[in-house]
Formats: sequence, structure tokens, C-alpha cells
Amino acid sequence: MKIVKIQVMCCLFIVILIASVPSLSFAGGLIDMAYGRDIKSDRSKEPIQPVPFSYDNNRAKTDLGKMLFFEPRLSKSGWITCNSCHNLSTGGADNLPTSIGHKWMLGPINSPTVLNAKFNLAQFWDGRAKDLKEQAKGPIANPMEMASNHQLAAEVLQSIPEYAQRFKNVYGEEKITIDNVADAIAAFEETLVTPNSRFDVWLRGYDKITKEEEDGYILFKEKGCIGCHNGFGVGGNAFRKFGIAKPYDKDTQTLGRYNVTKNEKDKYVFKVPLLRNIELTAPYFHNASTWSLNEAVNVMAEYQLGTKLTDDETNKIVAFLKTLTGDQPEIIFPILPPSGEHTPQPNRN
Amino acid sequence: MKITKFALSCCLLVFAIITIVLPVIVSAEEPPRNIGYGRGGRMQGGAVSPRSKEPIKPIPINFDDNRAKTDLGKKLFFEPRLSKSGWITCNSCHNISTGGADNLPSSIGHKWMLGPINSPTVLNAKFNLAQFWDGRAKDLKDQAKGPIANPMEMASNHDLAVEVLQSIPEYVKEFKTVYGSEKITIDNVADAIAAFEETLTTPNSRFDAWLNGYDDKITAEEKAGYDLFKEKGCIGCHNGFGVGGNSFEKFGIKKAYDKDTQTLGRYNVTKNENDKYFFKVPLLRNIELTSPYFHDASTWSLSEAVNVMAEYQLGVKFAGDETKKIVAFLKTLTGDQPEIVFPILPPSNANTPQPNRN
Ligand code: HEC
Ligand code: HEC
Ligand code: HEC
Ligand code: HEC
Repeated sequence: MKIVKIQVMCCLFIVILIASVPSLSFAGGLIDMAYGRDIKSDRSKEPIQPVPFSYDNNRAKTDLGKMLFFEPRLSKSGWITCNSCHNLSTGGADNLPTSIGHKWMLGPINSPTVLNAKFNLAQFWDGRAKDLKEQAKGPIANPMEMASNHQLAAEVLQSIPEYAQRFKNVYGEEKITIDNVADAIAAFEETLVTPNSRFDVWLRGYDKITKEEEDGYILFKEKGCIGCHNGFGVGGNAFRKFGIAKPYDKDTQTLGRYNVTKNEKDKYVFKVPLLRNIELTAPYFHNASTWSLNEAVNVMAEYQLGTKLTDDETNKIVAFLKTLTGDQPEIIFPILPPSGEHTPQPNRN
Repeated sequence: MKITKFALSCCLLVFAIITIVLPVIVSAEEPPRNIGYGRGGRMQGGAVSPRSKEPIKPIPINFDDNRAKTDLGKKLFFEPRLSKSGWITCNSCHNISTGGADNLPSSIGHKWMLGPINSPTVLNAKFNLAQFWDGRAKDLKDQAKGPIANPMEMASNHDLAVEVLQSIPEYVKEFKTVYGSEKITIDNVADAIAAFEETLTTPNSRFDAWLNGYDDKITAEEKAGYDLFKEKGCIGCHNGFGVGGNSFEKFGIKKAYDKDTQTLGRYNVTKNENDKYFFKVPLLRNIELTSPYFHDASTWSLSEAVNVMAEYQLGVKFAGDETKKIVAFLKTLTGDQPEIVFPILPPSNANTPQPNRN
């Protein structure tokens, strides 16, 4: 009888174990458990680290943030959302040379992706926002983007009872502040990571990339790309001059980091962009000077490293870069509460 | 040893049952992600109801029988590269987050051109006898070709739109799977979008539950509103599955509607003098989500819209709380909004025509 008891206990144990699996689901879908552990640790010393799985530990907040990310009433016109320029259907960017904003104003710079943005040391090309929360306030009040202002945006949300209730649940008070709006949006953006790329799976010890792709990675390291593009995001860890080996002459007006520091040495210095999902986010560079990933790689070789790659080398590096595309966030399109009689009306002018 | 063996097989059995049953339980607990177009994964039983003779019919639960096609249609509905600028999608003006409309007086299109008319919802649009305010498109498929080539909307053209899709291998493959041919045509583009739109219904509104025999799903005030809606004559035009969408009627039957005399409505299609100012009767499903109201967006207030209807369509003026009751009833028509998993679109490549913002 004792043996039976043990068996039953075993059974129970297994049941509990299995039942706990669903709790591992997160905002971006179910974790692919098969790749959850490293089998060959020698790749753990590589200068690129796999994107960690993100667990959504405050669902009420990230859900609210998702609604705000897709909320057209945060814009003056009632038509533009964060997603308009950071489309989660298309790699978190707009695939335009520069963004289209309020009244079709064309912005000065290419829109970077919001995917994996939390791995950036600071936000924007020139790093003028220290984190996602600080960043999120910018576009709402930027006259060329959403063209609203912080007071109006908060007033619009405050007029909608369902929002007041949700802010109360998350922040403990019904009074909606722009700080909390930005905080919720940032929390949602933190969930926008793209794990399980073929390269990450390779890093974890599985043979998931081809010989050509691996050759590309070796070149990426040997030629020196890795010096700037490394870490979780394959970029985002430093500010670097665009045009180290040869002055970049296609755009001399955008001063980059200099605008923040006013330090002469920071002219033409930009945040090193993330190369995760890079195949999804053409055109490339802050001035969108090329639509071709091959050309972007060649420009980097020429202007950053002072070398010229053979076609074969470029192809291999591009093949490697394409292994960096991970699982895109699985977003259930949010349903937004209707405006009330007191909600300020949109203004298309 | 025998006991151990028995226990072991027990164990295995339990294990097997769990692995089979668990996923089902899990999918019941979580909002189902991949099933649920237009029905939010939930549905009510259609009990035999004493109310089956009512002039409003509950929205039927719909099952997409061709998942490959509706998935393709969903991608196209959210595809910015169908527009000249690479920025405008069907969803830009028919936002599924906000009741399938844009909540603007008239739509913003290419280069911020402001359109001439309010954007109707795509939710439940399949219940319309024809599409557009003047019914100039006979069905959803016919309709879907319009905005792509409309210079004030997406401002592309059919050749360009097809060329863009044709340049993207993933699309070619999906069109092949669905239509049997690698050659993408604008007809098939429209067909896939229409198939997706057919899934955009909103069942399970409280009113539908009441129609299905669940008495306590609407309040006495809401019920009184419904009775007024019938007694006063609204039901003569707003009826059926969509609570509208079944006929063309003049706006301004009892009193000429003078706030907009330029939009001629059905006349534009028939050139029949009698059809001037005739419009397709709009659906009143989810009406609380789609302000402003009327083709000319003359009001943001649902109460005012109801009063306008009373005055211009019925020649009456509502007393005291009649308007309030009708509005309360109209709000029971909001159903389960479609649960859409945001599609991931395949990237462009060197052969894809580039967007043009001008
Ligand atoms: C009109 C288009 C537009 C809208 C709307 C918009 N953005 Fe941006 N976003 C941009 C552009 C362009 C940049 C780059 C600006 C710069 O670096 O100077 C940017 C930068 C960012 C960055 C920094 C990414 C990085 O790698 O540095 C984040 C994060 C971001 N936006 C999030 C948001 C959020 C959240 C919203 C909504 C509140 C939003 N954006 C609305 C165009 C837009
Ligand atoms: C010295 C640092 C540095 C090195 C070395 C370097 N990069 Fe970059 N990379 C940058 C910076 C800075 C940018 C942003 C330039 C801009 O647009 O202003 C960038 C941009 C890019 C982009 C475009 C990203 C986008 O989203 O627009 C790609 C692709 C890229 N690098 C690949 C490479 C490759 C491949 C190599 C090696 C051949 C390389 N980089 C070497 C710093 C570097
Ligand atoms: C620029 C905004 C805009 C875009 C983009 C747009 N629509 Fe529309 N849509 C409208 C407007 C405005 C109307 C009403 C026009 C009329 O009746 O003359 C309309 C009407 C419709 C209708 C008819 C609904 C009814 O009740 O009669 C459907 C269905 C529809 N659109 C679907 C689509 C689809 C599918 C796409 C993408 C291929 C699309 N729309 C793109 C603004 C837009
Ligand atoms: C003779 C037919 C007719 C009758 C009766 C009628 N309606 Fe309408 N209704 C219409 C038409 C046609 C429109 C579209 C008018 C326009 O915008 O051009 C409309 C529009 C509406 C709208 C705005 C819909 C939208 O999406 O903009 C509401 C709300 C409405 N009716 C409610 C009512 C109510 C409540 C009653 C009863 C008091 C009623 N209607 C009676 C034909 C009718």
C-alpha cells in the first residue's frame, strides 16, 4: 500500500508540475520551452546575448499601456497613435524615410523601432530621453507628431470613465497624470521584446543557423562591427560617431548627440541602433539614406571601419543579420472605451 | 509488484488525460488568441425564445470556414503598403479598436485630405443591402476596391497595389494557397478583405441576449426604450440583424433636412429625382461607439441624433424621458467586439515599389 501511496504522490506531483505551465505565458505569447535552457555553455561568452524572456508581472498596467499605445485620442486630430509610426505589424517602425505626423507634416528623422527599445541606454537617436517613460511624453506634445499637449491628453482620458477606473486600479487614484500615462505606455513597451530568434537559439546551443550565416557572424566579429553592435539588442549600448573612418557627407545637418551635450566632439554622434529584426525596418540610418540592407552594411564598412567588403562578405553578414529576427509580439488589438459627452473633440487642423 | 504496475499505469493514464485535457482548460481560461474572429471566443446558446418574432434579430454567431482566406484578408486590412504613402490602412479609417469607424466628422486621407462624408463602421457591414451611404457598391468585395484607388483615401491604384503585394514572396504564397494561383489580382485582394470583413460581427449584445430569452439582461428603462423605438416608428427603418441596413430612405421625410443639401445620396447612383437625399439606413449596432452621427456628422450626441430622427423622420417631438429611454435601449446594442490578433506583415524587398508620401 505504501508503494501505491508513493505512486499517487508522484502522480499528484506531475499534475501540479504540468498545471503550472500555463503561468509561464507572457504578453508575447507562450514561451518556447524547448529553447529555455543552454545546452552548450561555450556560447554564453559570445558578445551578443539572447533576448531574455519578459514576464508580464503587472497585467493591469501593461494592458492599460497597450490601450494608450493604440489610442488615437492622445493626438490632436484623434487619428494618430504611437502605432501609426511604430507599427507592430511591421517591426515596430513605419518603413518610411521620415515619419508622417499631424497634418501630414514630414518629420526630420527616420523612426526607430519600439521593439526591444528597453535595451537602449537612452532613447531617441541623440539619446535625449533617459528612458522609455521620459520618451513617451515627447510625441504626444510634438507639434509635428501627435500635436496634442499634456494637459489636453490627460483631460481627454479623464473624461472617459473606463480610463479613470483603470488608472485608479493601477495607480491608486482616479486623477490621471501625464506621468502615469507615460509610465503605463513604457510598461507596455517593456513587453515588446522579440525572443527566440534563430541566432538566439544558436547562442543557447542549438544548431539553428546555416554555415553561411555563421560565417557572417564570424565576419561581423572579425571586421569589427561587434565593437559597436553587441549585447542583448546587438546595439543600443553606446553613442558613436557616424563617419569615424570617413566623414559621412550625405547628411551634415543632423548633429546628433551634440544637440544634447553641446560638446563639439559629439557632433554626428548617434546612439548605435539595435540590429534585432533589422530586416523588417528598412529604410536604414537616421536619414534613411538606403533601403537596402546590403548597402547599409557596405556603408558601415566604409564609414565606420574604413574597409571594403567583398560581395560574398556582405552577403554573409546580411544572412547573419537576418537570423536576428525574433518572435514578434502577439498583440490582441485593444478595444477602446467610447468618448463621453464631455470629451474634448478631435481637431484635424 | 503487481500493485506498483497498476499504480504506474494509473499514473500514465492520469498523465495522458492531463496532457489532452489541459490545453482545453488553458484555452478556456485565457482569452483565446487564435480563434475568435467576430465572436470574442464566447457565445450564447440560442434558446427557443418567445421573442423570435421581434423585428430585430440577434446577430448570428459566425464561424470562419476558410481560415487561410480570412487571415490573408486581415493582413490586407492592416496593410499600409496598399496605400500610396505606405502609411494608410483600412483600419486607419475603420479602426477596429473604436467600433470600426474613425470617430471623426469626415475621414482624413492621403496628404491629410479631408473627405466629404462620415466614415461608417465596418462592423456588421455584411448586413447592409449595399455598401456606402448611397449604396454604390453592391457588396463588400465590390466596395473594397474603392478606397485603395481613391485619391483622397489611400491614393494608390489597383496595378500598383497588386505589384507591391506580388513583389513579396510571403503574399504570393498565401494567395496561391487561397486562390490556387501565384498571380495576384485586385479581385482576389478585394475578395480576401471582404472575407475578413464578414467575420467582423458583434454578437452577444445585451439586447440579443434578451431576444434569446434571457429576461434580466436589459433593465426596465432599456425595455421601455425598445417599446418606444417600436411604437414611435423607428423600427420601420431600423430593423433586422443590423438594426438598419435593409433599405434606402430619405433623410428628411417629415421635414426637409437643411443642414446639408449638397450630398445627394442615392440620386448619385440612380439619377432618379425621387432619390435625392436618400441614404442607406445606417446600422444601429454599436451605435454608442461611432459618434459623430449622420452622413454629415452634424452631431456628436446620441440623444441629439435620436431627437433629429424624431423631428425629421417621424415628425414628432419626444417628451421628457423618452429620448433618454431610447438612448438607453440603443446602448444595449453594443456587442462583443471582434478579437483581433494584430497581424505580422512580411517585409518589403528590393523589388517592392517604395512608398510615396506626395
Ligand atoms: C509621427 C510619428 C511618431 C509618433 C506618432 C510617435 N513616434 Fe516615436 N518616434 C518617432 C520618430 C521619428 C522617432 C525618432 C526621433 C528622434 O530620435 O529624434 C521616435 C522615437 C521613439 C522612441 C525611441 C526609440 C529609440 O530607439 O531611440 C520610442 C521608444 C518611441 N518613439 C515611442 C513612441 C511612443 C510610445 C509613442 C506614442 C506616445 C510614439 N513614439 C509616437 C516617430 C513617432
Ligand atoms: C564605431 C561604431 C560602429 C561600427 C564599428 C559599426 N556600426 Fe553600424 N552603426 C553605428 C551607428 C552609430 C549607426 C547609426 C548611424 C546613423 O544612422 O546615424 C549604425 C547603423 C547601422 C545600421 C543601420 C541600422 C538602422 O536601423 O538604420 C546597420 C544595418 C549597421 N549599423 C550594421 C553594421 C555592420 C554590419 C557593421 C560592420 C560592418 C557595423 N554596423 C559597424 C555604429 C557602428
Ligand atoms: C481615408 C479613410 C478611409 C480609408 C483608408 C478606407 N475607408 Fe472605407 N470608408 C470611408 C468613408 C468616408 C466611407 C463612406 C463613403 C461613402 O459612403 O461615400 C467608407 C465606406 C466603407 C464601407 C461601407 C460601409 C457602409 O456601411 O456602407 C466599407 C465596408 C469600407 N469603407 C471598408 C473599407 C476597406 C476594406 C478599406 C481598405 C481597403 C477602407 N474602407 C479604407 C473611409 C475610408
Ligand atoms: C424613415 C426611415 C427612418 C426612421 C423612421 C428613422 N430613421 Fe434613423 N436613420 C434613417 C436614415 C436614412 C439615417 C441616415 C441619415 C443620414 O445621416 O443621412 C438614419 C440615421 C440614424 C442615426 C444615426 C446613425 C449613424 O451612424 O450616424 C440614428 C442614431 C438613428 N437613425 C436613430 C433613429 C431613431 C432612434 C429613430 C426613431 C426615433 C429613427 N432613427 C427613425 C432612417 C430612419
